[in-house]
Amino acid sequence: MGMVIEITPLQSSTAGRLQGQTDRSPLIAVEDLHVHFQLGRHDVLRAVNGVSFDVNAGEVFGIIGESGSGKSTVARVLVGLLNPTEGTVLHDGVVLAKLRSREFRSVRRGYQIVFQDPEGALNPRMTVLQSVREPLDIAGVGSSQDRNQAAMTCLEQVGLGSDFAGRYPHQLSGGQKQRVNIARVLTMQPKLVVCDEAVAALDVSIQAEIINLFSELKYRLGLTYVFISHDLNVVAHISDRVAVMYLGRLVEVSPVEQLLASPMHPYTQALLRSRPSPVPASLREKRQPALTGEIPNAISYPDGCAFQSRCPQATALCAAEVPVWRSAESGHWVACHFAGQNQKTQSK
Amino acid sequence: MTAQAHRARLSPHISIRHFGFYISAAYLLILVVVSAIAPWIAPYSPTQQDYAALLAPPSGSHLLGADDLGRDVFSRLIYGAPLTLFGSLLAVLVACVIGLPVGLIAGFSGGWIDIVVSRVIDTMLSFPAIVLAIGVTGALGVGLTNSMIAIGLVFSPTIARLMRGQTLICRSALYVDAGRCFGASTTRLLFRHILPNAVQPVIVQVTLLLATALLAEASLSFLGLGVQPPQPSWGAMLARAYQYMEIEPSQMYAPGLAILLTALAFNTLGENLRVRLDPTLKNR
Repeated sequence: MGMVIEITPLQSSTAGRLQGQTDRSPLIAVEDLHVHFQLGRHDVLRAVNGVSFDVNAGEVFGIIGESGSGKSTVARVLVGLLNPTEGTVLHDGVVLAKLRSREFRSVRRGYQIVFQDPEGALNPRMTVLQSVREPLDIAGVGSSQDRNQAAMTCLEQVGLGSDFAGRYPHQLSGGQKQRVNIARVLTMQPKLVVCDEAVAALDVSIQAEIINLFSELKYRLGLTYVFISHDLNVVAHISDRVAVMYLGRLVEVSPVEQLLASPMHPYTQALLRSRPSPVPASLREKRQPALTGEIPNAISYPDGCAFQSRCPQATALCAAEVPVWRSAESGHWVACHFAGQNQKTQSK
Repeated sequence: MTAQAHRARLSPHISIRHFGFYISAAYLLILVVVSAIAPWIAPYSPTQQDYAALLAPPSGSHLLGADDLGRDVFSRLIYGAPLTLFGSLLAVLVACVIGLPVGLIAGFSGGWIDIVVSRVIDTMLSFPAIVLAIGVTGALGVGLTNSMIAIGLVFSPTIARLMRGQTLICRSALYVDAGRCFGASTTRLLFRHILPNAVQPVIVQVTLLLATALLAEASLSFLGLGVQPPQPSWGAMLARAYQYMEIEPSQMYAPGLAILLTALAFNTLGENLRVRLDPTLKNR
């Protein structure tokens, strides 16, 4: 990577406000989000520990990270299933947690989630049609007939014909169940759809189908996604911008092409290296070893950089200070003390 | 394997299951009809004594024999049916009316409400059931209705605990989270999503309790707390026959068999009901 990258530290007052390239006010603005869970009397699990990002209307914002990194917690906060411990999340300028119950229930309909487990997300005692029209029943839109009609339209949009309407979830395949979940989300004409590992539980061939369905729906209906996955290929395929998450923090946020071409954080670099490549071993470039060890637990949260325990370049500085965000190219942000000078530092 | 072959392989199993269901349903239906028209079909009054037939074995004039006071066993069995059925149903109804909401609320709300309710349930379950029932009957006064309410109270922690556990499971189900995202109210989540899924094992438990209530009624009547003589209930008849077991053991067969068959029918019906109510178990 011969590219010269200029690193400019971010002012601490705006720390973590990582905007995309547009000037419009973002659909979602997450500012210094913390979600902590009290476990027992003394232990606190810091699932999310200071995360900030914006999601603009019409884009696909990918979040990638391994299990335990706090991705799903972020997802749950984005759709109002969890409240932030600290920090603010603005949904189109509104703080969900401050709304009164009735208002909250109507505003949250614009922010939907597709869960990882397509079976669990469907009530086993409701038919496909009952499940899909339920959001409309709750919202009380139109007559019963209108709702049936609307539900059927949504089912068609995800490629399920009318013969699926009377079936129960257990009579469907995993991919079909996930299509039902997507159809149900579409009935609310959501501003944002959070896909929380939405394809992880499916067979690889079905994964591709569902991802294509997501792309198709985006172009047809102008949806905005937050696409969360542990699978770099999946995220890279569908996303416009990608955030890399590690142990409750974002470590790098970048447009997807730049992230793939010139990853700046050692964790991102390791992730890209660990990607299986479709080339025989003898033809592959010689690789640096993949990461060893596991993600530390979020109860005994480290001071300084979250990644220090597994980082090949960690120094005393990393153990002492949390790295500030630096910007490289436009829209490419990284939180590492040595971003852009990794190799050089090592060879000294 | 084709779908047809698959169905053919399964069919004997299904038909046996259905057979049991129809037999049980028919039996219970007959029991209800008999209860309703008891005065017209019973050959004797349940209290009429025939001193020539004390502890008589079955014969032409007394189809199932006569008891120690010369009363016709067959007639008492018929007159006892409505009392016995009413007793079990009342007990289970009381148990459900108390147990279901308590379990649902404890399981759904969690926190200190759950802790308090669970401790109360544990305390009630730690008493021997019959002792508790005697205590409650003592407080309410003897008689069939009171004793069955007592039994219902004694059963209610069983229902409440089961319901609480099921509610805990369903409360954290993903489809409840999904419902929340669509703006569903707590009432809707409770009654549309949690209750229908949580109540399934309770239905089976209820039919088991119906059978247990039959036997509990017998025990309380045996102790003189249930049905008061000369009213005939199957439990009281069995208790009375038990006293003459050494002289005329055949006295116990008729009420004992009636209780056994009814309990069996309730169980079979409950098991079938569960299968029928669960969409994941039918049309596989």
